[in-house]
Amino acid sequence: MDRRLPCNKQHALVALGQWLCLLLCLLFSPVSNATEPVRHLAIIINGNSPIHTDFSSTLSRNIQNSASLPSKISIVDIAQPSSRLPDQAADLIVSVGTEATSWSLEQAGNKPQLATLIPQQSYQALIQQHPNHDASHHSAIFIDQPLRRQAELLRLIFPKAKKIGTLLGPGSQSQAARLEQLLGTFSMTLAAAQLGSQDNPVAPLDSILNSSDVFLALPDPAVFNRHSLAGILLTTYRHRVPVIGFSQAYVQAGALAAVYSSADQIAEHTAQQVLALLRQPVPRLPSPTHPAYFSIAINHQVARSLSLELPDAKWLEQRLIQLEQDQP
Amino acid sequence: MMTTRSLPWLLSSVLLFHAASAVAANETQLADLTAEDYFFTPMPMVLSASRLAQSQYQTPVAVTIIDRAMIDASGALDIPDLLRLVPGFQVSHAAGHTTSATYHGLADEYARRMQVLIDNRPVYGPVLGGVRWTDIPVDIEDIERIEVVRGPNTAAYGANSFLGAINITTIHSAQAKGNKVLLASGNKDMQKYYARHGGELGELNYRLTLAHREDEGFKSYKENIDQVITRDNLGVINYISYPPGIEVSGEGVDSKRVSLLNFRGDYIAPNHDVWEFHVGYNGGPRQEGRSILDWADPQRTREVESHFQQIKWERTFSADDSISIQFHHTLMDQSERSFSDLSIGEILFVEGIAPSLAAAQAYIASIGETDEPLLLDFSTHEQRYEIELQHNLRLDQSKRMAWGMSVRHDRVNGPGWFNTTDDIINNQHRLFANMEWQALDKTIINFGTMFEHSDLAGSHISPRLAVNYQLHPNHGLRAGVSRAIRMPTVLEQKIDSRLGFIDGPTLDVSTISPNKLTPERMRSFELGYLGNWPEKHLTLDAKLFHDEIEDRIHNPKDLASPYDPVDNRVLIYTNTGAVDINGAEFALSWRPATRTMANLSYAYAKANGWAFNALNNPNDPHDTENLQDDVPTHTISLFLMHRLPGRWDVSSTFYKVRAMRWLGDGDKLPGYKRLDFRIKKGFSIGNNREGHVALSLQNVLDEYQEFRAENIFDTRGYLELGLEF
Repeated sequence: MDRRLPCNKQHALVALGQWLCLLLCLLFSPVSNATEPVRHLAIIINGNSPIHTDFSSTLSRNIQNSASLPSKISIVDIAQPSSRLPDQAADLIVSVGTEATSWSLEQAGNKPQLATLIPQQSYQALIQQHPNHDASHHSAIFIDQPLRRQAELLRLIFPKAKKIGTLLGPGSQSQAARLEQLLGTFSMTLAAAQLGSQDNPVAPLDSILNSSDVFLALPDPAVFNRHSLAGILLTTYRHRVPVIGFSQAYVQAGALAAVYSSADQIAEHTAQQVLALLRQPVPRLPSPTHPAYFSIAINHQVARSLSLELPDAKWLEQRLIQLEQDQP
Repeated sequence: MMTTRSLPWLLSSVLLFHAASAVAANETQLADLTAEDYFFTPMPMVLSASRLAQSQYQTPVAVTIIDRAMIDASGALDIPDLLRLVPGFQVSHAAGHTTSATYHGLADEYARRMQVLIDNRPVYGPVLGGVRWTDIPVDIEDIERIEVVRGPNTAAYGANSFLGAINITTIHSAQAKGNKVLLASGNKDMQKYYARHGGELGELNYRLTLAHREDEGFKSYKENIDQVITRDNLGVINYISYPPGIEVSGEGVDSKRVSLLNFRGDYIAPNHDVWEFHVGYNGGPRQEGRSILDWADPQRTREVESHFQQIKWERTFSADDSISIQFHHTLMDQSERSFSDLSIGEILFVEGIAPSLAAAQAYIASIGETDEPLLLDFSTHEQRYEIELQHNLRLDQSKRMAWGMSVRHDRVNGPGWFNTTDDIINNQHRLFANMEWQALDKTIINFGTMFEHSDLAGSHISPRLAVNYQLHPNHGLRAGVSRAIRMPTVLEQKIDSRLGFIDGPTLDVSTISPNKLTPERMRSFELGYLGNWPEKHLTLDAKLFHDEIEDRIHNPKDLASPYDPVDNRVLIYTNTGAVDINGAEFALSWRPATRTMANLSYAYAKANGWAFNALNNPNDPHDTENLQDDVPTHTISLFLMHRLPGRWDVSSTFYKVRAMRWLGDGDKLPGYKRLDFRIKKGFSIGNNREGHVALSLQNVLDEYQEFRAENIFDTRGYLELGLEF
C-alpha cells in the first residue's frame, strides 16, 4: 500500500506552497521588499564566563532557527585583548551581562543596543554613567523578576499572610517603597531592616522574623550571598518562617519557593525581541523589561519540614501567567 | 595513652589548617564571578535533610520539638529542666549535680532506657549507662533545638533508644556571630557566667563558649532514720537510736562547680562540601557524701574531666541525596577516691559481719593485716572512638531511604567497680537502613531496621514499621510497631565490687554479675494523631501506646550466693522480670503570635510488672516486687508565655506529677505540684546591642521531694543579666 503521491505531483505541490508563501510574505511583510537585505547583529559577550558563552550560543541558535529573516551574527568577546566592534556597522547590538554592556556603551555610543541577562540594578547604574545616551536606542531584558510577580507568588502560596519580612541592602533599598505599596494592595505590611554590606544579617533578622509570616528575599548580592546564606536560612528556619527566594539556587539552599527565569528562558525572550527589532528598518527600542518566561522552584523538603501544603509548581506558573495577562 | 589521646586533636587542627588554605583559594575564585553568576551559581544546601526536623506528620513515632524560643522563655538552667515540658517525662535531681530524666519512669539516677544525641554524637555513657547531664560539655545557651522521640527509636539510633530518644542540635556558628555574655546569681549559692564569641575566618564560621556554673546543691536534708552511728571524742563508735517517725536533719554535700568550653566551626568548601568541627571540655569538682557518719558514703570530691572532638563531613548531591561521615572521640574521667570514716574492723562490726569490734580486730590481726580505713574508689575512666557513615538517597519517585554503618570502640577502666586494673573493651558494629515509602497519595510507610553486634551483648536486630495516613492536609494518623533493645552497660555486665584489703583477702562481695546478660527487649505499639488548626494557631499531638518490656536487667539480692563465701549475700545483676506499660498522652500547643505561646502536656501511664526482689529467699521462694509504682500514672505540665509592651516577657510553668518510685538509691515519693515564674525585660543599648534582665523563680509552691525523700526542693530563684553585642 503505497500512499505517497507520484513524484511529479509532490514536487508541484511543494512548489505551489513555496510560491504562496512568498506571495504572502510580500504582501504582509513590514519590509515588503523581495530582495530583503541581510540584517547584521553583533552579540557582545565576556568569553571568560561560561554563563555568557552558553547564553550567546543559545541566543544565536534561536535567532537562526526561527529566522524568516536573513541575518548575520558576529560575536565579539571582550575578554580577548584586541576585541572591537565589527567593521561592518551592525543593525543591532546585543550585550550579554554587565561587563559586555558597559563595554558596548563605551564603544558603540548611540547605536541601537539591547542589553540582556543583566541585573536591573547593574543596568540602571550603567545608564546613569552615560547620561547623554538616547533612550530610544537602549533597552534591556533583566535577569530579575518584576517585583509584582514575586509578590503575586507569595500571595498565591500564602493568601492569609499579613506581615512580610525582608532585609534590604544598597542594591534593593530603592525597591522598598514600591514593594510596600504593592503589598499594601494585598492587605499585607512590610517589616524591613536596612543592612550595610559589612553588617551581620542575623541580629536584625531575629527581630524582623518575630513579627513576620513570610520572608521575601530580593536579589542583592550585598545581603543575600553565599557568605550570609547559612545565617539567614537557619535563622528563618529557627522561627519557622518560610522564605520566598529569587533564584533556583536559593531554593536549593533552603528557601521554600522562588519564581526565576533560566538563562534559556531569557535567551528565548531575547531572540524574539531581537527578531522583532531587526524587522524594523531602524530599530526603535522599547522600555527595559523583565523576562517574559519564568519557572517556579519549590523546595519540597523544606515544605515538608514546615508542614506546609504547597500548590503544584505548574499550577502556580499558570496562575502567574494568567494574572499577568489580566493586568492592564 | 598519650598518642591515642592526642590524635583527634591533631587531626582537627590539620583539618582546620586545610580549611584555612582552601579559603584563600576560594576567594580568588569568587572574585572572577560576574554579577550574573549571582543568579545562576548553585549555592550550598544549608537546610539539608540532616538539618531539617522531619515533619511530624511523617515521623514513624511521636516527636516533641523544643525550639529556641521555648528554651529562652522557660528560664531553664539545665537541659533536663526542659524535658519536664514533654508529655510523659519525669525529671528529678538525685543530687545537686546528678539529674535523672526519663520517659515513662523506670529509672534510677542514670536513666538508662533513653538515648541522647548531641549533634548526632551519642552521649549515653558506656560504664553506668544513661546521661550525666551535668558533665556534658555543652551549655543550654548554645542549643538550637531539642527533638524528643517519644517511643523506641532503636531502628534509627541504635540500642538504648529504648523508651525514648533525644536529639539535641546546637546553634550553627553562622547564627552566633558577635558576643553574648550572661551573668546569673541566685540562692543555693548559684552562680553562672557565660561568654560566647562568634566570628569568621574567611569561609569558616566559628563560635567559642566559655562558661562556669556552681551551686551548693540540696545541701541540707531531712531523713527518717532509726539509727545514727557517731564517733565520740575518744574515737569510740556509738549508736544513737531514734523512735520511729523522728526526722533527723543533717548536711549533705552535693555542690558542683562546672567549667566548660565549647567550640563549633562550620565550613563550606568551594565545592559545597560541608564540614563541621566540634570540640568541648567540661571539668570541675562535684561533692558527694553527707555529714552523718555513713561508712560507705563519706564526704568526698569527684573530679570530673570530660572532653570530646568531633568532625563531620557532608556532601550533598541533591535534596534527597547526600552522604556524610562523622568521627568523634570522647573521654570522660571521673576521679573519686576516698577513705571510709570507719576502719575495716569497725565496718565488719557495724555491718554485723563480726559479733564485736574486738572480734573483728582480732580476725584482721590473725590474717596479718592492719585495721585501717577502707579505700573507696568510685573512679571511672571512659573513652570512645566512633566513625559513622550515612547515605541518604531517593530510590524512585515514591521511596527515600537512609542507610549507614558505624564502628565504635569503647574502653573503660574502674578498678573499684570491676576488681581489675585492666581496661574493659567493647567494640560495636552497626548497619542500619530506614525507608520512607509514599505508598499511596496519602499513605506513607516507614520501615527501618538496625543490626548491631557488640562484644558484650552479641548480635541483635531491631526492626520498626509505621504507617502514616494523611486524613486531611492538617490532620494525620499514625500506627507503628517496633522492637527495641537496651544493651547491658559495662557496669551491669562486669561489676565485681568487693570489700577487702588491697592485694589481700576479700571480706565481703557486695555486687557481682556472673552470668552473661542479654539485652532488655521491648515491643512497642502506638497509635498517633496529629492535628493542626492554623486559623486557631493550635496543634494537637496525641498517642495511645502499649509497651512490653522483657528480660529487664536488674540487681536483686541473692541470699544464698556461692560467690560470697563470707555471708552468701550479694547483689547480683541478672535479667529478671517484665513490665507492660499502657497509656495515652497528648500535647496541645497554642501559638497565636511569636509573643504568646501556651503548651499543655498530659500523660497517663499504667505499669504492670514484676521482678525478683531477692533470689534464694528461704522464707519466700518467689520474693518478687511489683513494678507498678515505677511509672507515675499522671504527668502534667502547662507552659504559658506572653510578651507585654515595652519588651516585658512573662512566663510561667505549672507541673504536676503523681507518686512514683525512683530506683537505685531513689525512694518511692508522693506526687508533687510545682509552679515556676519568669519575668524578663529586654532593652537596647544602641548599635545592635541588646540586653536583658530576668528574674526566675522555681517552685513558688510548697516544697517537694525529688528522687529521694531527703532531697527537698524548696523555692529557688535567680537573677540574670544578659548582653549581646
